[in-house]
Amino acid sequence: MNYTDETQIQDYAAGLLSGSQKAAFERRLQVEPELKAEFDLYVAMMALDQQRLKKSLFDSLEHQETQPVKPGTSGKWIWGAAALAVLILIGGWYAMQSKPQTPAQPATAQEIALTFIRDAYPSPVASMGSNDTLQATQQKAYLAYRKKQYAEAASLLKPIADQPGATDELLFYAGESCLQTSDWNAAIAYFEKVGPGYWNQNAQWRLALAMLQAGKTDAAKSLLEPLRTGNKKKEVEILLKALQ
Amino acid sequence: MAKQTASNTLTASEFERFAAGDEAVLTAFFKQHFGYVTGWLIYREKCPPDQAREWYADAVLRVRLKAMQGEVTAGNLRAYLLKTAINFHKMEQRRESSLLKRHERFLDQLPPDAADEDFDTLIKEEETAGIDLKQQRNILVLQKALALLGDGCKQLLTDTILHGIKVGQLVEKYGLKDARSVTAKKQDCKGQLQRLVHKVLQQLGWSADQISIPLP
Repeated sequence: MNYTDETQIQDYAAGLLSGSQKAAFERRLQVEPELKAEFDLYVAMMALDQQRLKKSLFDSLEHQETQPVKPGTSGKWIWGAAALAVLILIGGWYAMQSKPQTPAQPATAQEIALTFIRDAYPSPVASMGSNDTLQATQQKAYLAYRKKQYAEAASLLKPIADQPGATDELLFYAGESCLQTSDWNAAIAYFEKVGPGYWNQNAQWRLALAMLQAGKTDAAKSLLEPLRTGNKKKEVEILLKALQ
Repeated sequence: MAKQTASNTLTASEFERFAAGDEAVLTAFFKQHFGYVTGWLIYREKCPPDQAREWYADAVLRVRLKAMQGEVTAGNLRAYLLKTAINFHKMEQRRESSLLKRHERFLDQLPPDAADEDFDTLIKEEETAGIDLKQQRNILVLQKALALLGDGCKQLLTDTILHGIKVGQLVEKYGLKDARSVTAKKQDCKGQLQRLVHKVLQQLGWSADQISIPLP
């Protein structure tokens, strides 16, 4: 196998070939069993390697407050932009003073809440091997949640969370799955059912976010107040400030 | 492909380690640009957040691959990374249906630590799994065989087969005499992997014609 074959294998597997190049490579795969075997080996090995690396990369984000940054709100260039803005302001001040000023529009509490929602709560333990006590549906739902297939997780979790005696963890993840699929009212219903204990503070925080999205601002505010001293105090302050 | 140039995001020594496959530098690089690139995809390209995370991770691994292959030099990696991620987003449909993505999705569906006797139940209809039966078995068998392969061989096969690094570049890394010795070592490692695949097939009670990867 030559270097071009290797490059073509990589690009075809990744979906980067198109048009006549793609068609020609597909024809070769059909008539060259050796190339097909090498291709299948490559794609299986690559998928295993990519999955391992991605898992490790995403795990590295779990304990950090890493959020998508709105372009234009951070970075070194902002200082340059600020300096330029000052120069423009000084230069154009006299000419501009008679014109009405347009203040920068701060992000609304709802928008901020959405960025917190996008940072989904970390996945639950889906399987404990031989010590497993989770029922199969719950395990399947937790696996779907871990794979960020929140709609599937929600549809699997809702029926078991609706049963009497559902655990707080189950109710919380049913709520979180609904939250991730923008089903605010269902999320609210599940978070509200979480009783006192380990899951309660997290549920109250996520409940407040869901309330904001559902337009229940006053209810969200009263949920946020007691959380000012909790583990989400920084985020709570940001939201309360935006709500003022 | 034109080489990318000029940057301040990684120091020269960090870039050297990045291009040599150092996973600690990869993780730091991933975390460093996560907010900027995913933010750009979400707010400027209107990409759904989950998809943005996926394209970003794919782009980081692609940039790393190109660095390992010597096609990217220490330069403005953030701009190159952003361009790659935006391209992936724009080629969404083609990439989502790519074989690699379909293999990744199949892997994502597998439960962790499945026992040998459950392997047959993990094979699904092609329509459900997204890849054919042989390709599903390839993954399951390879996963087990690679776990049994020595670290040195695993690394050499990863460098040559997956990263497409030319053997000449690997002489020093593996402390071998010349490019020919690297090729010989690669063949030896591939042989070891194929024998392990054969062994795993026997353990699972599967036959050679049920998979499509090369066997000894």
